[in-house]
Amino acid sequence: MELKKPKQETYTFTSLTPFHTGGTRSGVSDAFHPSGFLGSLRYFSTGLAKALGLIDFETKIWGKTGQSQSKAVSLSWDDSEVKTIEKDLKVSAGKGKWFFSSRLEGRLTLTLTQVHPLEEHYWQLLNIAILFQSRYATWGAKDQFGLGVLQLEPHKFKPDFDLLKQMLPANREAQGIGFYTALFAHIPIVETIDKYKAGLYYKSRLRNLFREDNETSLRHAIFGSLGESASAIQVSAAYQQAGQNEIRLWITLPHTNNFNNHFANRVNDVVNRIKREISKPLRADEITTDFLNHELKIIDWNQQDTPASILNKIKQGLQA
Amino acid sequence: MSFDWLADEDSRTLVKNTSRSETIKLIALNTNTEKETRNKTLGVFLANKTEYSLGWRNAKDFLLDNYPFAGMPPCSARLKLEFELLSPLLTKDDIPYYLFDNPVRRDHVFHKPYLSAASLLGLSMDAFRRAYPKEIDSNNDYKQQTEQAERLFGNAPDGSSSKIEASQGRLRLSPAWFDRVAVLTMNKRKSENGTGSNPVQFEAIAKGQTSHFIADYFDPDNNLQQTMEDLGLWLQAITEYWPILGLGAKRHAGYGRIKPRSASLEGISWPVFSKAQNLSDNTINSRQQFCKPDFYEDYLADSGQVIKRGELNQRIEKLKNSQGNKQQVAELKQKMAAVKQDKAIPPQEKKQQITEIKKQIQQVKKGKGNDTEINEKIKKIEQEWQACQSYYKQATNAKKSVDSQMTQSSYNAEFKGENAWQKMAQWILEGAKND
Repeated sequence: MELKKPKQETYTFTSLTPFHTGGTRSGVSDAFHPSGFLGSLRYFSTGLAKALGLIDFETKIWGKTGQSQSKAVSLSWDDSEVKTIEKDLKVSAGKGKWFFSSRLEGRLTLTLTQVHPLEEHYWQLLNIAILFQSRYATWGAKDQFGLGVLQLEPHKFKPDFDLLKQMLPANREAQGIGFYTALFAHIPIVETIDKYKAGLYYKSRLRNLFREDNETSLRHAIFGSLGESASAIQVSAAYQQAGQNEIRLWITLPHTNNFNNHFANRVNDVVNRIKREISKPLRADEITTDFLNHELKIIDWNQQDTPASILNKIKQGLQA
Repeated sequence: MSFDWLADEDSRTLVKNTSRSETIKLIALNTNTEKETRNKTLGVFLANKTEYSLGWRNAKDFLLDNYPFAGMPPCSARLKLEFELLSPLLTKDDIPYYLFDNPVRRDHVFHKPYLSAASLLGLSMDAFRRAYPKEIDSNNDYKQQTEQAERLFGNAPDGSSSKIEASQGRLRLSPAWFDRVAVLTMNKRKSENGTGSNPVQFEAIAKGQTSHFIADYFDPDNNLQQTMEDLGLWLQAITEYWPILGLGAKRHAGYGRIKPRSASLEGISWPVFSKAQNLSDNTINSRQQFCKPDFYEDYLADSGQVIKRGELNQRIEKLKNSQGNKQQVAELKQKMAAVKQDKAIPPQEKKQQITEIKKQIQQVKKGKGNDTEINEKIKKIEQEWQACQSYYKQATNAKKSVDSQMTQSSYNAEFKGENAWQKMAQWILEGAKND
């Protein structure tokens, strides 16, 4: 009897900023929890799939309770080279103060295995989502405060964009939460000593764009409010990659049902304002002398883009 | 078919000097029938019993490591597979009153966390189906069409209209025991506002621990090649899939990940592997074949032992007389009778002729004639008898060694390291091919 080997891809990540996957106490990273990164990947890949019009991607890949559909993939994480940074950290930036308790850093390996038969284009999309999330987004929790930037080491997977393009619908309609409108940016900066402060200050500046009288609820919905809403925009701490210092920013809308219900008509306005702000030359003052905005890298799309054009932008972003 | 191994206190209590001792009863609980199928009493002496907290025992004192190999037929085997737990292992218990909603499963005697034998057997069946897939939906149909799976895991009627003959599987697993427990939290985000909902706490077996389980293969057919093939395929399947997919619940999310550490094999009438590291040569050193010969039953006496030399000689004599020699002897006897009746021959000459004929009859009976076929058969009988003697001696020695409750087993083969299970599977399958 011939042994059948499973279909697998392996990815190794190195943390550029610390990351957090939760713990038994609030804010404490006691260990690497696989469920944290599973949820992160599920959210990102599903959002991307919806933007591309593949609405049954979530059920096919991640399963659905109540319909006897289990996951089609298995995630196995090797966290033997992940360490905990025990030192607590307090950061003041802009108007606010943030407190970071323990967090994780190091090298992490993901082995993705197909456990049920799966159409090839879904497999392709899942792997492309991993590449794109590693390149332009973040992993795990507290990424709105700077954590979760992982660099992907060289890997064997070769994306087949042509195959995926053939399976996309010509158009799609927005259905619930998804990456129907998205912006991913790499913002280069001059070397800074305080990487957390750089990211938090930048987020604070963006938050201040929405201080008009009638924008309190909108601001809370976009930037998050404790107990009320998650943040739609994630701004990383500063990190160095390929010899360049930068901050990573990404925003996807709609990110919650509440936002979809109350602010669906404000999506384009929100993203455009943020895009204008990050493209603007910055003032040179005591705080912002660290920031320069040349060679800004942006990938963005909105609800008017077709699935094929969105895929094309993703392809260009990965090949850049 | 799987067993959970339990231990319970026997009613007898022995007092020895200042130590307090207890006799522990080891029970094998058949998880399918919920009946105790084997009951073996082991004497265990616990020194300074008061040092141990209430309800806690040193489980390894009377768990499977010291359980005798007794009663297993020839060509059966025992595998001990050791592994390291790389991520928390989830095994949920059904305790109604507990601190958390999701307690880890614990043994009711020792209260130690464990992964049950039933779980391991189900996981190994899953790995087997993934490793050797067929376009079949149900496990029962798969086993019906895969003889190795049917032998390993048995058959159980599923209540459907198709009649499946129930059969016990030959593979019996032990649980895997652990010591430490961790507390984990999951906090699902609500889709309304993206904030966390009520965090759920649950217990899991803590990562970083080493454990092992035992896999026994009962061979009722005395077929070493078949045993090797079944066990090798099974081990190959779990070696390929368990490190990737993990064990326990939520394994596809990354929980229950393991890394093999060592593999040890103990076989009754199995070949002995003297150099475990020489697998790259694809050769097996010092193989000694101790399989039961096909003709073994022909050489057994009523006592169950191999016949003695005296009886063998009688058989040989019978063979000599039963063939063409018979005709020659009859002819000579007729000739002798004719000489006796012939009154024309003088008495002295008659006596000489009769003596001569008798000598010829003796020579014919001794096979000193030209009957080479008879000689070949006699030679074969001698060789077969020698082989039966040899097998009987080896089988008796093997039974003696497993009957004595050894605390330290001697293994036919042993491998260590991350590739230990893979190497063991290769060694077993190589043996099945060469056998």
